Amino acid sequence: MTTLGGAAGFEVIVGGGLGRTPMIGKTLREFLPAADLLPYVEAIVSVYNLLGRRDNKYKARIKITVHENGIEEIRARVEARYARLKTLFKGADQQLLQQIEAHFKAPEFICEKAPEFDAFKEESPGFCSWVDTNITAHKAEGYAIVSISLKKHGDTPGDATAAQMRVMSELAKKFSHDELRISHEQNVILPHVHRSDLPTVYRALRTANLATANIGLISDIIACPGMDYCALATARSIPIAQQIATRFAKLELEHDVGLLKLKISGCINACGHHHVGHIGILGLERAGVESYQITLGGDAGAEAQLGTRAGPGFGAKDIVPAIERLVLGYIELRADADETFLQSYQRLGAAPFKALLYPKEK
Amino acid sequence: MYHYSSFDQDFVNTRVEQFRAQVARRLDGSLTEDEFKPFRLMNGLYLQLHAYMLRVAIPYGTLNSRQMTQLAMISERWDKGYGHFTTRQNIQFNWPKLEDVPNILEALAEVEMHAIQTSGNTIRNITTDHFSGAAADEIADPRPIAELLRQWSTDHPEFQFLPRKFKIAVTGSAAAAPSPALMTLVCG
Repeated sequence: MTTLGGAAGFEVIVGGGLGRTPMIGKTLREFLPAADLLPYVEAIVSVYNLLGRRDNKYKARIKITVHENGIEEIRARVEARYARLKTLFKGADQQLLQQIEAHFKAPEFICEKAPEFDAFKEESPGFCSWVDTNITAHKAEGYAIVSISLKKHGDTPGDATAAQMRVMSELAKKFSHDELRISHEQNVILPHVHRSDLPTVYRALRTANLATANIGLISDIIACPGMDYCALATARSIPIAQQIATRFAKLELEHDVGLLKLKISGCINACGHHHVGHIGILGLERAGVESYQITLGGDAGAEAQLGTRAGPGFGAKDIVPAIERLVLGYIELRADADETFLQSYQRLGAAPFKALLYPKEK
Repeated sequence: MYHYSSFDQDFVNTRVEQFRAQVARRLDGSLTEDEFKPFRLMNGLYLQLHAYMLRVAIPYGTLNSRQMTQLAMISERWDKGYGHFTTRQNIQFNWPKLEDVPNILEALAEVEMHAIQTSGNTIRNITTDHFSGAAADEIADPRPIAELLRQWSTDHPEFQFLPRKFKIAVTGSAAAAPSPALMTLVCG
């Protein structure tokens, strides 16, 4: 933060959330000086604690508090509370932050070229494909960020066996400065891998069934546990995710389809983030039968966007063919191979995509 | 990455022993499931369709190799040999036996982990960018701020019974920021 000089600070957004009442957050403060973070957050939670509804569980989240009272009222209350709290924070929080920052010093990166990497890339198409999808640019020269996919086609999204955890642990220790990250997309990250180590890392991952080259593709599905585990679920999520991934692996189309975020929730609480999937699937129960509703055009990126319901739900047997029609149809509709599913949807609107899902109706 | 101070370690160890006593009272019948529920929810233990589920916090999604190895051990020794990583950067064990949960929490405490405030109407695990500290386009590493928020929110006496759960995310990603000098804090 100090490297940002006098301008270090935060934009503070409040009242966003998915669940049964999805809402995009609203800006509460365009600029909050970094040093005032804790009193300001305490003011927000304190205002919510008093103002938030306790009469109805489904209206109790801060998004509803903000919605019902208006962002102006929330802002006035937070600012008033903040003015009082700020005087009580006498710098202990900033001293603590300094101590914490010392723990997060960047590792000592060895910045040099990586000859083995390029040679192996030419030899192995599997490695080449994995590098294309699972590697992200690192801030240090010669390094890469490795995303380990927990979405092998047909497996449960986000699950890892004990043996796989040990392999990832060992790789982190040897090749990623002892660090791992868990992504909200239910994958595991090796954040600091030297590019010359990528072939070795790839081979070790491949042996452990962890080298699936599908990050950001249609089989890199977010799915909640659904009715296989969850007491709140109204439908199964995991088998739908498995069937979609397996189907697209068989079609060998997912690399051609490119970036496509598919997210599945097994009930309206939306743990699978379906509202912000480019394609979202919401599993419901209709008269004792599972029914899967499709939403289109959601986006969890910087331009956060909630998806729109495409139409009536599909039965458990019909949902995978519906997704297949939709995605194969997109390939025909897209302006060129670089136009993603979301971009096509934004350019063309919902109508041609609905026609793909419900061919008999129009 | 962050390492526990003796204060952090003592606090987590104390909570393990406190919960061990609560579980013992549940097992000997002196607590009903209803009476036990608020205690287990303060320690990330849910009752799901087929079994208890333990949600373990992975603060801002960061782990070291020792912690990952311990999660592997826990899954083998007290679960069915696997774990489930969630959209909130946590891990869930789907089949723990109630009598084993205090031992699982003890094993977590050995590697500076816990399941506190992964359920209930409290401030939940702080989330951040999963490429923090590594991404080429990062404004600043959000993890120190996230750790500060973790320490502030853990067992915060005013915020243990909020109207509903409360989630905070911090991002240092330039793609999410309105201006190149700002990080973004999201409360929802």
